[in-house]
Amino acid sequence: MQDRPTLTPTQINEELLWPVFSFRRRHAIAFIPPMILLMGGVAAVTILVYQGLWVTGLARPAFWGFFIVNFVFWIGVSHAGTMISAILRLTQAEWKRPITRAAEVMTIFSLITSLLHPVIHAGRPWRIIYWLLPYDFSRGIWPDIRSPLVWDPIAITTYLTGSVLFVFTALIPDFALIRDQSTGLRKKIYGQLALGWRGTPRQWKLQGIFGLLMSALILPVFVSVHSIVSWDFAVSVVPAWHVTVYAPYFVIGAVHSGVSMVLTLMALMRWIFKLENYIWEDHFDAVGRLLIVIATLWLFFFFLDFAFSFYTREEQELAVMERRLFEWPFNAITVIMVFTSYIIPIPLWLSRRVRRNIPLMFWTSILVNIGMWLERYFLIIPAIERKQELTFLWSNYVPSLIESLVVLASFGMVGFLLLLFAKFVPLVPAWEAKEGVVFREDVQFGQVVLPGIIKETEEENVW
Amino acid sequence: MADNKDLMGVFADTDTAAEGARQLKSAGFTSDDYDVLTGNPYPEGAFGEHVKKNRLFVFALSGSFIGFAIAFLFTAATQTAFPIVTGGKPILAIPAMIIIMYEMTLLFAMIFTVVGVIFESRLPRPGGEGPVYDTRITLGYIGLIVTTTEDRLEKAEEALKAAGAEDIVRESS
Amino acid sequence: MQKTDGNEVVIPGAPATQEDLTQELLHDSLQTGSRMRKALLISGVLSILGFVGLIMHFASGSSDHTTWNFYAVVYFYVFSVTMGIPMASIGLRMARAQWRRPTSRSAELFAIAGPINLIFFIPILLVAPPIEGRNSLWMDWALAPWFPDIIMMVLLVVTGLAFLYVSLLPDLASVRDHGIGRAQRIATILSRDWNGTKSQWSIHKSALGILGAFYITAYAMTHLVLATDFAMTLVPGWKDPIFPAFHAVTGIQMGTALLIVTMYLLRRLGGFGRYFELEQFWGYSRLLLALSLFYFYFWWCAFILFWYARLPHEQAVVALFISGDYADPSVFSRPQFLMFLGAIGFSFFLPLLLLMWNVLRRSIVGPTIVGVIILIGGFFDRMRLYANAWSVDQVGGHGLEYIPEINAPTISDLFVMVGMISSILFLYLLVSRVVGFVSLWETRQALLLRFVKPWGVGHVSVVIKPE
Repeated sequence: MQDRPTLTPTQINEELLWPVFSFRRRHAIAFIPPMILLMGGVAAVTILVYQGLWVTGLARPAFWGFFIVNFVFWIGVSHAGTMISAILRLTQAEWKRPITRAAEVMTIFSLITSLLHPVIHAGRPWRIIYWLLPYDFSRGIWPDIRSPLVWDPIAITTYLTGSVLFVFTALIPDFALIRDQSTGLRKKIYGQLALGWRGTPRQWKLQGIFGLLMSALILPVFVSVHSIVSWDFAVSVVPAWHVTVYAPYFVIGAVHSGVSMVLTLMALMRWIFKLENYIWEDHFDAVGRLLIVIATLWLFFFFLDFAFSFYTREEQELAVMERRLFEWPFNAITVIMVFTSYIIPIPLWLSRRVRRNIPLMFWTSILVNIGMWLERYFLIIPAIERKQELTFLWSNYVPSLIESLVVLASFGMVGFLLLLFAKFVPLVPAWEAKEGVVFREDVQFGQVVLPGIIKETEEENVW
Repeated sequence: MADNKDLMGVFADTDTAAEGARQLKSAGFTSDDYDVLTGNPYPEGAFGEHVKKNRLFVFALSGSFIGFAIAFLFTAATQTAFPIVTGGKPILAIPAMIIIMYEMTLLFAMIFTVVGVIFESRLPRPGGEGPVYDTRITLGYIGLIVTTTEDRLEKAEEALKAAGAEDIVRESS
Repeated sequence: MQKTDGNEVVIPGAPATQEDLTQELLHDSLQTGSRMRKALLISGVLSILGFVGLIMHFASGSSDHTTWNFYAVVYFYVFSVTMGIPMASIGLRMARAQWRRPTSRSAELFAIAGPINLIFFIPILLVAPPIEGRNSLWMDWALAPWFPDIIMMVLLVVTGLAFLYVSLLPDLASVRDHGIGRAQRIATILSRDWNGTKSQWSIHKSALGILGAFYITAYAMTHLVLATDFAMTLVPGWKDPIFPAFHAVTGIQMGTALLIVTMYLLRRLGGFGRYFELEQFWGYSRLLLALSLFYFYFWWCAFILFWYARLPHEQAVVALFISGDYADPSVFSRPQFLMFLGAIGFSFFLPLLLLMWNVLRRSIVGPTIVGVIILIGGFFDRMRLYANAWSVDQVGGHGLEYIPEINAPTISDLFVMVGMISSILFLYLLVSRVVGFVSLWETRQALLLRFVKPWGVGHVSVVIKPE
């Protein structure tokens, strides 16, 4: 356990708060790549709005393309935040501490990014205003709540609201910390945000209960969001979409890509913000172990979906499978997807040496997300290309440059927002880092020192 | 008890703060007379403090009922107000309503939970951090705040100093 | 967390010392008292009923699978419950939950039900209709479904027994060294040359990890093939890829429920109160709550698609398993609907409404009551699935054309049920005469890995998590 330094509160404050109080070169340089991607995206969307949807590759019957695939992908990534922080809070896993906030914030930003996609996809985004507002009280026409396209915004709004509240409430103690360390206008602003936080045992206790209660409340939302996104496809009668396993399959795929993205983020945070004292190799090890389980579950659901597409041997479904398995480019996509999201990373992660090798974990986590992006493409596009019963209504969707630029820009946008966020609050919760130090208890066992944790308990007898 | 005053002893570490709590107890103060300020959570009761019960679950529960009711009314009323059959489903399509009721139940439960946490934490405090506060708390110092009548303040200060308080912060009158 | 006695701080101790463990788990619990003798005798005698029931079934001469519908219900109920229990223990072991240590043995001992499940599986294979003309995963393979299914079954049972044996090994050695009588002789043979050397422990640890992973895989795959070949295939037009996962998860749910009930019984009747404490019940009740939510989620994922898309062949599946025949005007005279109400009420709604209260979740009686409820709900659920699916006599076709009548259960089905449960109980108790209901080595380790120490003016407990 040589890589677990013991830190003083002052040291924690200094090491975690420097991006807030100063703007160093490494932080500034990190802004460059996402900004380039983002600008490309802004240009592409401008052209799209000016020229119309013909600049995309969308054509009958495939009217859902890259934008929708990317929408589903980012909704998926947003699942990591809650998954990591809620499940780890509920199971009281000690290693959650440095990861939770970054993961939750990533949830918010990827949700916002994904929400942009249907808007861009509409082609004339300003019209969305007319569709949504004013609410038609006078004519008494209401949204059809039987449509999954109504369930979807409700679920995503719930999730976004919940995540924002979750992050904000857990931020209050850190706002107070910045308030106490600063002067002038900054002190005033953070003082307002901290709501007058003092740090009494009651306040801390409520923070603890809040973490558990909110996790228990947000977990069902998190499962429902991606389930409902999957029902956008699955409740229709499109062959290969109308599959009962879609909901859990989408959810577990989302968790797989999201947790891998957290891994990528952890490595980047460690490099950009010099967080070696907080994000340890142990954390990569733990996330890696978790990912083995998640990826294997994902594989199981993938297998269920795959195997049962041959179960009834219906022609349309077989046509979709034929396209997925034998026709260019889907044959390549299928192979790359299976290799990058399971066959390459998982055997590597089985080795403890690899799990503790941060550059290797960084690159394998990126591989997983390449695979998971392709998986969404694999699931959504071939089905819609072969939707009609008559073969002369079949089409092959070819994405355009404009669409690709928007996809790239979405990565830039999430990165940009995260870096911007890091300028204002620490990405690693300072109070949780300090709590971790207080609750740590290394125990000498013969000649080894083992890590222990202090547990509060009310029972007389504990095992 | 309007004439009660606050007095805070600032301690550099856990051991002296725990000693401070012991000294206060032996000086006749009970766990209701003092409170603790820390920069991060400590094991509950580490300084012998007494945390009163909270009613957070009441907030979550009432929020979920409100959300459920709103969603039920919204879905039922809009469907009956404009009764048009879509996809061969009944006008009051219960499974579809359940999905929206589920989301709204949880949404309102979450909002009310956050309101509850802020309310039960006695936040927001309009006057900032309160009468006695020290910015060193967020640097890892521990504050013991005694709230008592003016005549007993002296006694409390003695106890805190005896335990090794680095500093004593008094409420400005 | 603190108990203050005036100004004196009383620090609570561990529930037992290492000497207590040796005395209780190695000596006291291996004494066979008169009550245990009686239980062994009764369960042993009742075991015979299972075979009597089987013979009666075959003697009735019907090879029509619709008359075996309740046999399938009983079989898949017992199979799901008993093979699901080790999953709870293996999962928690992988998650490195410390509190599960005193309870793992009583969960893993249920792997001993494997051979019983294997024997009673044979009639299922014999009477299940062939796959010709039906939807199937096996692509008209001539050996399917019996060949792959029996392979999966054997794999699951053998993996379970191997896992059990490895986890027993250190305790067998203790019985070999300190036990008496027949238990000691059996332990001597089984423990082989286990001495507890560093390398043996290290192999032991990896073996448990690998066998655990194998068990999980075999469990999922066995449920996949069984649920498909003996339920889904029988109903034309029923394509439901989530059903195998539902089947597997409900198995774990029922298993966890039975484990909680077992813990309660061992606490009350066996005097193992200090090993099955509030913490253990609390931990398992949280797991049970999560699994009950999964029950609903997996069921709903299939239901919402069938309900939404309104395809005729899927409407028929909904009628068969959920709503009953639409032609019958009163929903409450449709047996399918009543079975469904029992299943979802006892497997999801009641457990959720009870377990969402912290007071009930964090108690010993609360989870036990919910455990019993879920065991009842699980039976309803297996009845809903198998009694209905096995009543279908239509072969092939795009969808189910009519909702079949359900053949009533016979006395032989009851005999089979009593017999299967008794024989599993008999084996469970019999093995417990050699190694006991609570693992000595795991509980010893639990004691090492946790202690209470003074902190501030109170005390805290410290949990050590080794790699």
